Amino acid sequence: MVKSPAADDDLDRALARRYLDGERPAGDELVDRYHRTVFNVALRMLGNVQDAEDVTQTTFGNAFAALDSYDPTYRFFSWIYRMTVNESLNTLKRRRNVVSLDGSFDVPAAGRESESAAEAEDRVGRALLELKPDDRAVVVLRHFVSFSYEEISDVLGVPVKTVKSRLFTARERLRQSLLVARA
Amino acid sequence: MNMLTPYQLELIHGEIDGENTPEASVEVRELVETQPEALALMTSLASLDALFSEVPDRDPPPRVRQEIHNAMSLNSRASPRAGHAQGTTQTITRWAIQQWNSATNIMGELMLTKKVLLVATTAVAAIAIIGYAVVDYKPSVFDAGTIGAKDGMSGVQQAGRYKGRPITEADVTLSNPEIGALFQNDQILKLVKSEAFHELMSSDTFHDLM
Repeated sequence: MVKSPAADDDLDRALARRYLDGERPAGDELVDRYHRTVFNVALRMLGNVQDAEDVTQTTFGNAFAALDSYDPTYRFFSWIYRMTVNESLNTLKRRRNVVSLDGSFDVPAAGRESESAAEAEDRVGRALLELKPDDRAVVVLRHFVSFSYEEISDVLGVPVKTVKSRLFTARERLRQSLLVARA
Repeated sequence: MNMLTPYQLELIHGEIDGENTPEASVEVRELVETQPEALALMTSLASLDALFSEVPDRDPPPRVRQEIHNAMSLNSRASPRAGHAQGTTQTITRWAIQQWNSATNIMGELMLTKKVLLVATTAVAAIAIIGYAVVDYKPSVFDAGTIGAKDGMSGVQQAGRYKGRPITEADVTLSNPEIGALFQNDQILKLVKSEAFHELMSSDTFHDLM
């Protein structure tokens, strides 16, 4: 499970300010803090390493290009993860326009995990791709980034009630495909 | 499972997600002890959560971080030291393609909405009406009364048979007075109307002479 970097809103805001003031290493530090989580969120949303790489790069490119429009009264991680989810959803739409999604899950095993971990990744990855993208985003943020309902609500820009509804619906489908079907 | 109320479902999910207050957690424990459906749901959600925990997180390839840094260097908002950018042609191209894809995707979504189509149609109609009013457009000779006719292209030709020259008095007045006098001669008229003249006119001998 990918853990979001330790929430340190003051540090994020300071790094953003210093970058805008021309201090390039501050931008590097923001990248170092978030690029791994951004990549993993995109990977679970898309089920494809190459697409996840593209989304990660695009997200940071857009973030730094629009950093002067970032409102520091909001949390930086909500802002960057929202961009990540939106870019992932855009990628899914583009992919759907080009070729229909056949549920393929293209994440090659890194070789260092146990067989059960690789199998779990494959099973979970396939089940995730069966969910509607909006529901998938809630599951990814809850189970892979350990966000609270409130944080997911901030990232996706939807009410907490909607977050719960999507999460409960998605879990019911996941239970059916991952647990009941195998029983 | 269906016996659980929405409130009870929310309590159980909240317990799995660590969202419950201590009081709500006590409620869940009592629920699980008394209702088998609640216990079954709690167990399966916990299994699901455990399965997600087994999924390893991935390290992005090092080139991703490098590409981001290169893109930052290309960004005009970067520091004055951005002049040391190590951006490559590949990075620039890839970045441009991504931006282009994003832009076309947004445009595609916009163009597909009915609202935009309606507005666009209305705008085109308004422009056409305003244009007509401003330039006082009249159909050209190639357009009027034709189908598919344009400059350099043949179409159905404009109908001209209804535009004949009006008949004037000159057209019905004999210019030669001798012929006029001849037509008004009674003897000639009797001759023309006679049986003998008709027989002569229809005879083969007459046609041969002509």
